Amino acid sequence: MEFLQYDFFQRALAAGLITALVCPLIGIFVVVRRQSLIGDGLGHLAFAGVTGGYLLGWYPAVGALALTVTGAVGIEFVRQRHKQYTDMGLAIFFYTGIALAIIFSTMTRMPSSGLLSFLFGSIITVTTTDVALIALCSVTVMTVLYFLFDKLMLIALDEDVASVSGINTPLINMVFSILTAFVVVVGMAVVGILLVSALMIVPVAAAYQLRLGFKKTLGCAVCFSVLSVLIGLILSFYLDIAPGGTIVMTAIIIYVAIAVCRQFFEFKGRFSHKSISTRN
Amino acid sequence: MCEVKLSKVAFAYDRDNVLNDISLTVNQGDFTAVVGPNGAGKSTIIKIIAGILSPTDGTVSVGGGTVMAARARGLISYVPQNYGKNIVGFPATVAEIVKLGIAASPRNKGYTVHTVEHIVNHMLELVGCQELKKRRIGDLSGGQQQRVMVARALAGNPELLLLDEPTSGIDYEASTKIYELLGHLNKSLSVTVIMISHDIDKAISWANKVACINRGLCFYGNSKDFNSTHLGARHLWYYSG
Repeated sequence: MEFLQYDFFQRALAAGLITALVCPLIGIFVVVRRQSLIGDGLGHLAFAGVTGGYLLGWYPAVGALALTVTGAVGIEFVRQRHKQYTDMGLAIFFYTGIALAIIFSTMTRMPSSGLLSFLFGSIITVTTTDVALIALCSVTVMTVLYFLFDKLMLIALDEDVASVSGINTPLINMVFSILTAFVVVVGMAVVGILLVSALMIVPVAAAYQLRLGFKKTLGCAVCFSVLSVLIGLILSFYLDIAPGGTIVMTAIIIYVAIAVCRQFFEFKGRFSHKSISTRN
Repeated sequence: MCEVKLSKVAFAYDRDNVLNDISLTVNQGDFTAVVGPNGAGKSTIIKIIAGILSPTDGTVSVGGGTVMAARARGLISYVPQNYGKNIVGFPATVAEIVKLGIAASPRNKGYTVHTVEHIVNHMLELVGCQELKKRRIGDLSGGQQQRVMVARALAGNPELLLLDEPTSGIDYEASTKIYELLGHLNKSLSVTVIMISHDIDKAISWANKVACINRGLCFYGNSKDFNSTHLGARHLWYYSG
């Protein structure tokens, strides 16, 4: 437990655990709404926000939050008006984000170490302000989700059914898009912009395989996410590598392990069923 | 009272007129089957009543007010035709799906956990799916899924139930059970039911009213009258559909 003695690791751990809690909460809805790539699109906008914020002398996370929320509103606006071109609209925002990030980063002459820490995450650069901002964003996300949980679930099942039932679907979809933007910014500090989307999706995908109900799937996804962040951060500390990669690889290993176990038990079940039939 | 009134309703997708000059009144407690050949505009008319589509001409009133007002009051519940693709991978149990009908409805506020549980059990009992309560919705057969979806739709205590071909892709026995269920619910709960049907014989057997649509209203009245006077029309679309 040597790592716990360091202040920087304590901050990274606090930020990481909050991120691990909140990412699957949004991730489960992102997955059931079949919008798994939205986190990547918003991540690129966050990168543009960080570099743009640096250019304007803002705190990087604030710049990221401003541009990501604007992008999320734009993506949802396009989705509501051109439902058949949702993918194309998302791609345009995706490329806009990366293009702006390249322009801003060359204009600011931002040091490459700073850029890399935002892209891949870092346990050294997490500040107390970052932890406070992450906590504030996460509490906001969790509070809003608490009140909208059933409505979001029904919208995910069928948007038309939800709207006929009296739910203001355009408003709730817009709120959800903004919450997703918040979570991308929350995950940026620890996991990095490039992999924040993975922490929303992979633990949920792992829990999906257990074939449970909605709330149990969500509970398992949160457990897998927390486990991934804990193992990933500790490995990152001892191996001196960026935490984003180790956290996401841990989550992927959990996913693969569950997939293998599931296949094994299904095969075993089928085999024992066959032997009983043969004996009879 | 949840009366549905369509007055000179027309609808066009771009320049293609799908519905023309449809006027009819569905009274509270009616079980109306909407029948007609493929492409006749049956789904369009249900979507107009549900407020998913707006008519290009004419007016629709539900429960004496606009469709949007009826939706905001939680009067309408809708069971679409193509739930299937969403349901297959949806990670929710049958009980969770039925609960959504209660939690999402503006009519049900402030129920305790115990009451919600009681309503879920009651709805599942009504549709004969109580033993499936803990199963994942995607693991059920098509007929079972549709019955659960009817339970979800009824859990919000609506006055008007709209169903878009609830028996499509379901075998004969399962579809008979759905008709029986809707007929029973219509009588026991006094819910007004408007459903699209491709099976004219079953529609006539279970519904008390039939609306025959073919881009306009061909017939609207008692199902028994339709049975005796429109055999020619039935014969025609059995082959054109």
